[in-house]
Amino acid sequence: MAASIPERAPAMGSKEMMTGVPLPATAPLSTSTEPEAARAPVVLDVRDLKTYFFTYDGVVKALDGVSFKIRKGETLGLVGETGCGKSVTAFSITRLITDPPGRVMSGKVLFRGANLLWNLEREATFKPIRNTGRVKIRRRFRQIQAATERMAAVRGSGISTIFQEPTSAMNPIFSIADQIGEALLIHRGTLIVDALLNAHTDDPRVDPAIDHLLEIARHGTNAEVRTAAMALGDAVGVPSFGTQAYYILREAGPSASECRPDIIRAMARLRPSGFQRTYLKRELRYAELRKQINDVFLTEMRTGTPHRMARASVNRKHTSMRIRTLYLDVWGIRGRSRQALKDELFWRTVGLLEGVAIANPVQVSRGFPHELSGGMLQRVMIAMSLSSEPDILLADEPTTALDVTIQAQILELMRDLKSRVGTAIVLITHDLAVIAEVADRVCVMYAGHIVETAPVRDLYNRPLHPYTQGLLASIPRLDQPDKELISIPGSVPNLITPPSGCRFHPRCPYAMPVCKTTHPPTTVEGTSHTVACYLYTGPVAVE
Amino acid sequence: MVAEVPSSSAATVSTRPSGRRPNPRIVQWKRTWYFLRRNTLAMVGLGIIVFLVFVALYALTQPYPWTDLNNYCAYTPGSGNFCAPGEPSVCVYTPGTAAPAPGCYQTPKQFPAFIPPTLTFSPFATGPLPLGSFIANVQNPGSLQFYNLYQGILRGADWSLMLSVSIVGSGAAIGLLVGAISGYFGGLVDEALMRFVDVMLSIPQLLFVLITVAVISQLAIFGDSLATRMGLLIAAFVVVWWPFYARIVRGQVLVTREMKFVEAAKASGASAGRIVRKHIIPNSVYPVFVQMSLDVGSVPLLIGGLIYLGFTTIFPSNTFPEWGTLSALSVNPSVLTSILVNSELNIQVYVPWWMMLFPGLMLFMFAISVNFLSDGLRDALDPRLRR
Amino acid sequence: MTAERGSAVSPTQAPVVVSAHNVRKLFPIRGGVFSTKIGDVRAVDGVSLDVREGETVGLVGESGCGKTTVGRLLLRLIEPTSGHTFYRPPEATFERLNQIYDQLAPSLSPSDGVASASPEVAKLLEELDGIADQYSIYRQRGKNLAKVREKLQIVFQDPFSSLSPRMLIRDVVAEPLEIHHVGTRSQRYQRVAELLQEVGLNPEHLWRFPHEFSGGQRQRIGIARALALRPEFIVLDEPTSALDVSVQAQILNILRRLQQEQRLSYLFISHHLSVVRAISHSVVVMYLGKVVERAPTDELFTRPLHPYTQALLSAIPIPDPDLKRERIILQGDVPSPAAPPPGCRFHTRCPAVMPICSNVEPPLIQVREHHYVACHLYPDTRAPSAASAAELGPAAGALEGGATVPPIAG
Repeated sequence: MAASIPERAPAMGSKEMMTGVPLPATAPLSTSTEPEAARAPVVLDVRDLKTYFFTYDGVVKALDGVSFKIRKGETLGLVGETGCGKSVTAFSITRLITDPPGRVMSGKVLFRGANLLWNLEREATFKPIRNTGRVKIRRRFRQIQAATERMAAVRGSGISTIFQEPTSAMNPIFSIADQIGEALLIHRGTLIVDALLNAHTDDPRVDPAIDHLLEIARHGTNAEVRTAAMALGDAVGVPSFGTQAYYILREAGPSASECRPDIIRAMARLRPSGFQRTYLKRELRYAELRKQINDVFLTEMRTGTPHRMARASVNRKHTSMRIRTLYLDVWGIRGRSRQALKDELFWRTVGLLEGVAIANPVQVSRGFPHELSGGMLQRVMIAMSLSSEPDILLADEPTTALDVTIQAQILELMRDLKSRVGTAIVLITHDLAVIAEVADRVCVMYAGHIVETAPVRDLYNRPLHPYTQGLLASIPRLDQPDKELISIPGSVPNLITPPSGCRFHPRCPYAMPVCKTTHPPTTVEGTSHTVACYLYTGPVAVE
Repeated sequence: MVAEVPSSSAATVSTRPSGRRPNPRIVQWKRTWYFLRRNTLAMVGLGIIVFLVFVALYALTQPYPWTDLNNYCAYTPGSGNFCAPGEPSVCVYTPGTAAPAPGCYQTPKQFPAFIPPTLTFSPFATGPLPLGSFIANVQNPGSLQFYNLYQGILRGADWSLMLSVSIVGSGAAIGLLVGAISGYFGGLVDEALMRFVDVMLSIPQLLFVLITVAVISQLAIFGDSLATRMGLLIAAFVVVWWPFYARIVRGQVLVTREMKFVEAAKASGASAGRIVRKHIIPNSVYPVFVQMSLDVGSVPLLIGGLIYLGFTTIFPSNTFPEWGTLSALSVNPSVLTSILVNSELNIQVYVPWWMMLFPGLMLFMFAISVNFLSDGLRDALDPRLRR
Repeated sequence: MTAERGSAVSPTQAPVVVSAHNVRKLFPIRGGVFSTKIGDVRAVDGVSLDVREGETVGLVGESGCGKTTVGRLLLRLIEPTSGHTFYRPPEATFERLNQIYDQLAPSLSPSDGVASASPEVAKLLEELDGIADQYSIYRQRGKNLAKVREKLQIVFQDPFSSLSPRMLIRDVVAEPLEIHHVGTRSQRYQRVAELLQEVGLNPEHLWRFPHEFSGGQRQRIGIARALALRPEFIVLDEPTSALDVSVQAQILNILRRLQQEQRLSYLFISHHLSVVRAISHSVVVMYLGKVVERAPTDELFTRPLHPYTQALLSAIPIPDPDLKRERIILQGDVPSPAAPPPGCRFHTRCPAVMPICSNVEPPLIQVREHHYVACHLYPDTRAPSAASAAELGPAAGALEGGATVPPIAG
């Protein structure tokens, strides 16, 4: 272990070292010289997140003070090896940690002005048992349940998640359209039902739009037909009808221009009968009530106090609505009143699946999860998560279970979506190569701490933390075949008894005495490149 | 011929655990015990089972046969005191004459519908649970044979434990073997064995046991004593019981044999027998434990039912105080006879209710404590639920 | 490392340890009322490869391409439908084998063994049979088979399920020794301790259960177990796919060191091409049960010829955000091996597809020094042999190691 702070030698594993050529001064480091205010606003601000797991073998300090910020439209990569706590971070944010044995101890997660972890102190109390290392926890399950309920306001529409195993993440007994439709209805119900109820099929623009469409279908390209179909959808006021018209024509093939009666027939679904309208109005009302209660939840999380009266009033309205309209359910089972909504959701699903580059969205929508391969399912998951237009997408190892060529397709899709939709993405993975492809900024985690955060180029060209350097040095690279694979000595620490001070010090080639005593503070090196290491904190008094 | 292991020049490394290192298997059990301790229900179950084992051991120390009423004194209702040992204490009088004391009954018809318990407990087997428990004396139908319920329950502990453990244990062992072989080898062996199992499962259990014991004991191959009949009973039950285990073990084996370590053993050249013995079976016993715990409670019940149905054929001369038997005997057999013979539901069961209650209660405690314990053990052993 | 890895290694003079020729494995699909066979999953469909002493051959492909099955076939963990795997054929015999197969190749349609009944071919088949009796592992029995099995070992992918959870490590690693009755008990445990040291584990670990170890350590235990009988050839079935990056580097370094110390040969099966590049001397690329390209490592990665290889290489992400690459993104999914596309199996996704590709299957031919490709872009310039299609007949089955393959009509 080196006893002295080395000169700024080329970092292990960096390009400089590999090629032996010092980087020119104009090496492409990210230069964000814009002032703070001009940058995109922060969507998620995680401050000092601590999550512990209380197990038979002891307390696993999975996260011990994790902080980071995500800005709108940015892709943040969360990288680390097994056991470093990256998945735990994502799940702590959305309160998906299984409560026994895990527990989010403290921290703040600020999202849309609300603290998602607003009630932590009241949810559990801790009492250390004398003479043993153990702690007695008393959990107040009602509080925990209440807090988890509040998260419904945020999950899905604010923060949505994609999980690792696409084949087991979907319910096998419902069709794809049903599942995505359900998500759509919950998060976008108001818009959808509104559009359906206000569809104007006797608008004067509709007929000429149909004529125009059929004209183009005779000898236009697919793209042109598409545009004309969407115009028809606009004319009617329901965009999913445009999708439907497009697929009707596509199926008809060469006889597309004689499809007029088919289109007219299809338009019938946009004219719901009286009974169907009642049903739809009820769905609309439910959607509005959902929105109201989500607003109440958000306010509660913002102010940190419960708003019982507001919640109770919404619940009352909901219940009375249910009772008053029970007959609709009964009648609806025999009638077809739900059909209009189902059709609408179906075609919206088809539109979504098109957005994730699935070649035959109509068949896929009608089909079931077990009929699809892993890559397709992952796309369906992405479609489902994006259907509610969330602010943040948490992707937990989305491509780990997929083959290389399929992974390339998914990464391509994610890059495309980044530019089109502009959701902030948190990409959790252990594959540094995937990060290099997709991410804008990277956080490297080790044993429950973030050790380095940097824009992606800076991280790969100039890794500062010894752990990052070690990681980069141990990856075999296709473009550097003769690179020697240097492995970091030692192994990942036991999080029940983590090393004191900096958790990496037993394996660090530059360890100093101070590293054993206190955890290094996070210092900023250059613009927006932070690292938690004593190598970069200037002279420190050695005790 | 044992081949020589080429030794390297490295210094000999100790292959025994050093003094301070605990035996890893003990460490595992300690951990299991820790989890078990925290499970209240399992501890209750364990407590009851320990209690029953002590009862069984105590019962072995009782010197007299259980139907001996001279030495096991009975409390005569109304007299207010205990009799002295040696005094006959059964309340019997010739039919037709007046009852000598209130609370003294002779025939079932004379019992009132509800008899308040008139009993006290006393330790050391001198004070009974009630007297007046009777069974039909098959050698002399019409006369009554009395037994001491308390003694019956004591002895019942070791009978029941012995019977259930031996039947379930043997059934599980045979089922394990058959299931492992069938599941591992697959193909024709699997098909044949499973069809055989299907046939066995379709045999009505009690009927089979009844007929087997009756027929084979008639053939008098092995002699005709209580021990022989008991052995036959156990054997017949085992024959009927093992197919359940074979099925569940086979299911588990189908999963285990796909595991990579089985393939690794094959790659090392292990023979099929070795793989089944050392890899498949230890990793597939888990569902067996679960099923065993459920069955242990139901064996005494079945035997009781059996006795009730076919008592005279199986055990013409003796009875044995197993709990299931006691419960069966407590119901007046003339009820059944009158149903069968008269085909009228002439049910006037004048039975001291405690005669049915206590054996049944003991059975219930036994079955449920085993159940609790096995639930707790299963939770403690399951690696996924480890906290 | 370059010199040791030996980019020019393929034509070494090292003796051949394992040589597989035209190995095929078909799994029947059962359906219908009586579970009659309604089709085959052509998991491995005519794969040939050679591994020399001290060499690492990398086997790459995506899931479903059959590479795992190939690994097991080479060890006879599953029985092949047809084909041979030879263990340590002498150099002369090996040459002769290559000659025989070359001569038989034109009469051997790539899809299924159809050979002619002409007398020359029959003689060749007989000769092949004789060699197979001597050296093919599928023909060995009893003691001979046990001896051969000692030399061919495997390390599995999943370090979590490849060790029996109820056995102490000491027993796990000692098991191969016990099976083959090597030494006394204490000698065996002694050897176990040595093996653990060889892979970098503390012998104190003898006394633990598998679940007390991390993934990397368990994989090392698996390697120790594979080394117990001093094998010559080890199949490594995705040994590092379930491990973290830094642990992966440790394992790869251990494997390299062991290879140098003990002159081991490896078949390294993986879908991580960058890892394969780091450790292999030559690489075989498979797609849907067939070999599509085979070349020394450097050659394959610098000059990939088959479009699938090119797509595969371009699909791999590189940890360098500045590198801009031409990416070939393949459309669609991998077809099912139960119903492979006719002709060239890759033609449904191939960016360079031609009309001939959906009709005729391309044979694996040598295009450059030690570089073989199966693609119509590189036409077969060998002279067709005298055995034309008209002479093809029912003697086909005899070619393939005794298993009868029904001839395809016409």
